[in-house]
Amino acid sequence: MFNKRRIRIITAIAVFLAVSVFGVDAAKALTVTDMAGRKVTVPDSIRKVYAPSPYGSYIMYSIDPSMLAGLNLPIRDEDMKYFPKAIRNLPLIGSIGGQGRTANIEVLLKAKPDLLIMWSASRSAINDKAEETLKKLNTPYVYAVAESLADYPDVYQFLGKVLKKEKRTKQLISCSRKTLNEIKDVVSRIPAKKRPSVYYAEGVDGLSTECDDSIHVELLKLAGDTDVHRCHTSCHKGFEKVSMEQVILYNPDVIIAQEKVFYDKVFKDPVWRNIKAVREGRVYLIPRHPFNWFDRPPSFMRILGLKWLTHILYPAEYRIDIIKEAREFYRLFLGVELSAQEMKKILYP
Amino acid sequence: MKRNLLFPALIFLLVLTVAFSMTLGRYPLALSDIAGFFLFKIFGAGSMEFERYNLLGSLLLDIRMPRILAAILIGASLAVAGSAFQAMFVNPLVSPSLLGVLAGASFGAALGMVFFKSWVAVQVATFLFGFLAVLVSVGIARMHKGNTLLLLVLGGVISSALFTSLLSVIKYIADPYNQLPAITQWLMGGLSLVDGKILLTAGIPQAASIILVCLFSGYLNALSMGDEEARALGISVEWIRMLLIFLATLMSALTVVLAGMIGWVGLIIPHITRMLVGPNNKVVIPASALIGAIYLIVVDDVSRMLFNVEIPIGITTSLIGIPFFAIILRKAKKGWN
Repeated sequence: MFNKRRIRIITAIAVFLAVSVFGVDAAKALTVTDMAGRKVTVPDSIRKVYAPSPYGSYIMYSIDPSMLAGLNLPIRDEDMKYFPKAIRNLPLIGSIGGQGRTANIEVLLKAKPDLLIMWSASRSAINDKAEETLKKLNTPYVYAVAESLADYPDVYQFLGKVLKKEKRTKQLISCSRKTLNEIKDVVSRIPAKKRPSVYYAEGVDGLSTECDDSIHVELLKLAGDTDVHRCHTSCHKGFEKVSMEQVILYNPDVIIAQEKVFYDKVFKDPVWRNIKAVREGRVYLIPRHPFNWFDRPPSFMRILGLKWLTHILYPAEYRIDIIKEAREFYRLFLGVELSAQEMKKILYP
Repeated sequence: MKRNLLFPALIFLLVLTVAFSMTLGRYPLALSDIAGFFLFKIFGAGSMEFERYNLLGSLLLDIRMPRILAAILIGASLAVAGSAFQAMFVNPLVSPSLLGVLAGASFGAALGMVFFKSWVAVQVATFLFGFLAVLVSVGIARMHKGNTLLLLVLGGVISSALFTSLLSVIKYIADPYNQLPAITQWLMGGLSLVDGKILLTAGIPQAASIILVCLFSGYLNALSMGDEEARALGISVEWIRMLLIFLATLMSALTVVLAGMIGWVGLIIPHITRMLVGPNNKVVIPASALIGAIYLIVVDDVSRMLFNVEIPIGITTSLIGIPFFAIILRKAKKGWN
């Protein structure tokens, strides 16, 4: 009798204690100012995050993919080998706000992310429509804002703090900072006249390109600002059509090509042989596995892309072993170990 | 216009348009350059630096010429297919896309761009799906008994809707950074992807079917009076109709292979032609081929000259065609009586 009562009391106290301890723990929260300047209360311990746009997911690939609740886009089979296990088995959830497949809100609710990571390319263009949808989730969200590649260290710093991954992001920050400074230094030493002019060939005909001030060719701006297509971008989408005659007029020293179909035929095409870059064999295909080094999508891979591009444009002034550098980058940012052979396949498919 | 002067006049106008368009381009070439090049090339007259000769050769023979030839073929094909369909279906609102060929071909192109690596495979898919869509329409019409023309039209509506929604599926699963803009741009049409090889492969069957439709244009006069009357004249209506549908599909599908979706040409050129020459299909078909060719060359000139960047030709054909059509609409009835 007495014993039973005592047990009951002890149990009650234990339950009370447990509830209060865990309850307090669950309610324990942190207030942060996100990169769009909003004050947000985020849970103290974050296990799962979801990014409504692929850009946000990419940054998570490099910080800690195992924290992602799901993917925005399916991973191509041929790219599987370039991803760590943590990414390969993630469910496909989709995205919100127009980039590719639309997520089903209920699937998202089931995945129960603790925090949403919103991505914006500018402080002013905060996506209201997507926010409205996300309010239904009742999950806090923070904005990561990268107006340019130079903002990536700040993004890593911010997310490292929120996600308690500062040790990890410190490595990524120092690598990105080092690269950005290194390239700035190399380029500044080369007089403007000695920089080769560059044409960025998109599309299977190679006749789509971007204005020099477009976000899509930011790497060209950083690596000497010699894009031949000087104009003002009217829309974010880009992909501006130019005529072959215009390209012959530009007569660029170097062509950076996005499509393999184009790259494979350009040297054989008598029309393209009129262009200096083609005659001198200075046409380069942008590596794109597991995602693009240059653009579409713009991601942290551009930090490596910047090295690659600078090396291509100024091989004498910027001497690096691109295969070695790329393998280190993949090891650090993506967590995959690739042999020199495999890296060659990415660089020269 | 006097009938016997019409064709010489149209051919002269076409030659003039071609010659004029050869001088247009973003790369500034003086008339003397162009004349010098052709004199040197054909007669070996004058002298020319090797590098300069190569550049001029590329500009004139590899860039401008194929585009102009493609514009001729595409303009003529769409106009002839449109005229033939309008006569056959006895309906002025009909265009080559009636039986779903453009929707099917667009779907094929998008499918190819997402799943195939080689451009030839994309072209083959474009062509095959154009045919498949028409086969679906004809199949649906065949399944039921009744007014064949009406059933064909309904079959076309169903088939077009089917392939348009399949196209949306492809767009949805396409890579949004790379494939989606490429597909969108392709669907707006453009002659920049035309090269000598595809021009030869697509051009010969296209030209052949244009000539065949011209030869069969007499039957169109009978068909446009209605099936009963045509049968009374001893014409095997079904066979002629299927043959014409086949030829029109062949040439329309090939226009998508060459240059993506180009709208409006197949609708307005037949009307303009009828206004000029009256309702006799024996005249309308060849005349619309010439007028369609001239129209598309001019529109392509605008597309490549107007801005630093090229405007997709599908946009230009409609932006130029629609107001023009709206203005002449009042007179458009004329050619039908």
